[in-house]
Amino acid sequence: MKRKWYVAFLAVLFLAFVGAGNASAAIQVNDEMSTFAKGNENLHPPDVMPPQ
Amino acid sequence: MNVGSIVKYYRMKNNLTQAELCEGICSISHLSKIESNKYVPHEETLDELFARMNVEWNQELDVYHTYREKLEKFITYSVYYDLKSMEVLYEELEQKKDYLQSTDLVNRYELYKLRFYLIQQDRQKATQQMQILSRLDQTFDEYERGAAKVFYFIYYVFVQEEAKAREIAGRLEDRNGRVPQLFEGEFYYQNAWLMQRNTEYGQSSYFAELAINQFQKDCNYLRLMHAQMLQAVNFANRDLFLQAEELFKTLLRNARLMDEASLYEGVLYNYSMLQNRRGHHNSAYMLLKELKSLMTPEEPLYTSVLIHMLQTASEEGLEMDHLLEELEVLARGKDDPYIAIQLTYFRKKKFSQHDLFDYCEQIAFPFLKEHGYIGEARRFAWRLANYHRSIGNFEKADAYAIYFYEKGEKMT
Repeated sequence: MKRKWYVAFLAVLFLAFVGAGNASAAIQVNDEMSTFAKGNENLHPPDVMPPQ
Repeated sequence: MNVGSIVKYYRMKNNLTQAELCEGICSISHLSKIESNKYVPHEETLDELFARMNVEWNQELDVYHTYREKLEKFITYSVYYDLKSMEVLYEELEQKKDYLQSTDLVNRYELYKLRFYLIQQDRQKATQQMQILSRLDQTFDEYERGAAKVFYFIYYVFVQEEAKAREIAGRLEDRNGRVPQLFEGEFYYQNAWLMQRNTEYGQSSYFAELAINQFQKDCNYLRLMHAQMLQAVNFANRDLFLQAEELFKTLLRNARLMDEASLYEGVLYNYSMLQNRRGHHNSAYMLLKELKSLMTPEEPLYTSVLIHMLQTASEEGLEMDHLLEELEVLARGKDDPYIAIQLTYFRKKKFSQHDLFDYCEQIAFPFLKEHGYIGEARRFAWRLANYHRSIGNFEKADAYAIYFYEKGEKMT
């Protein structure tokens, strides 16, 4: 009986872990991507640059 | 100093043949060797030759040294970005063009003119000057070789031939033609400028910091502000918000004190973008309001400022009607679909949410995506994704979310 409760507890923990993974797939800002646009792609409005 | 070239210059100026000039003083072949700088004449010979042409040799030496100093002043003005003084001295040197081109000052004269044309952003004259210098560069000394490489680097950055620019920058670390100390700060600055144009903000930061340190050492205050502006934008784009803000505040103060109106306006604009990125929309709005008060509607940046004010006001829930009216007046004068889309978007925002999101989905988002306004397209994608999620359209929500991620930019 104790063993069954223990396995059930581990299963719940596992499912909670997986569940947390799913929750984090909701729309969030992705902090790992970097800005590295080249060419015409205007990733954000251009800054005003000082004179060359 | 090549005195022979000066003898030849005055002989030509006096319309004398070699025979006429040297008669009774020396032989024609002797004079020919003097004029081609193969032979250094005795002082008595020089005195007699110049006396025949009514030229005082001592005075001539003074003239030579004066123009040598003027050339060094000319390039120093460029280093310290004293554009007005540079223009005045350019005219003066142009008056003496024939003389300068006949002496051994010709190399520096032509080199420094390249720098001048680059500061003036005169592509045609700069390109012509590059051709002139390609014929002279075999005679450059070590300093002139180093200076030439720095100016060629600036030229290729200016005309956007990046591969050539980077090749020269790489070679500048060689033993042949190291960067002269006078141009060290400028070299770092140009590297930082190039990297930033390519949105390589980390690399740009590295060079901007080197430029800042060098300009501080040289008390080169105007160029220091330019380098600090570059650095502040780098920090803002790397999300180093506090560091960026510190630099922007310093720049606002110093640009105002030094009466640098154009720089001051640029800082206001960039600082307002930073504040918007951080969600400090009220602060961004005040900065944009000040900027708008300093500009006239004819300026190219004015429309951008107006649109940013509308976006900021909308985030903060501020009054927008007067801004919308102004944008309408501007839009009538220009046939620009981007302005038309912004106008419709903000008008619809006042009324129906449903209408607004329909408009975003059917018109605004496709337009922005197609014409490369990717940052704005992502913002619209984010809002559309949340909107569709809120009304249970998970398929559409996911599609917009995927677009947002695929374009891969940090957004706050």
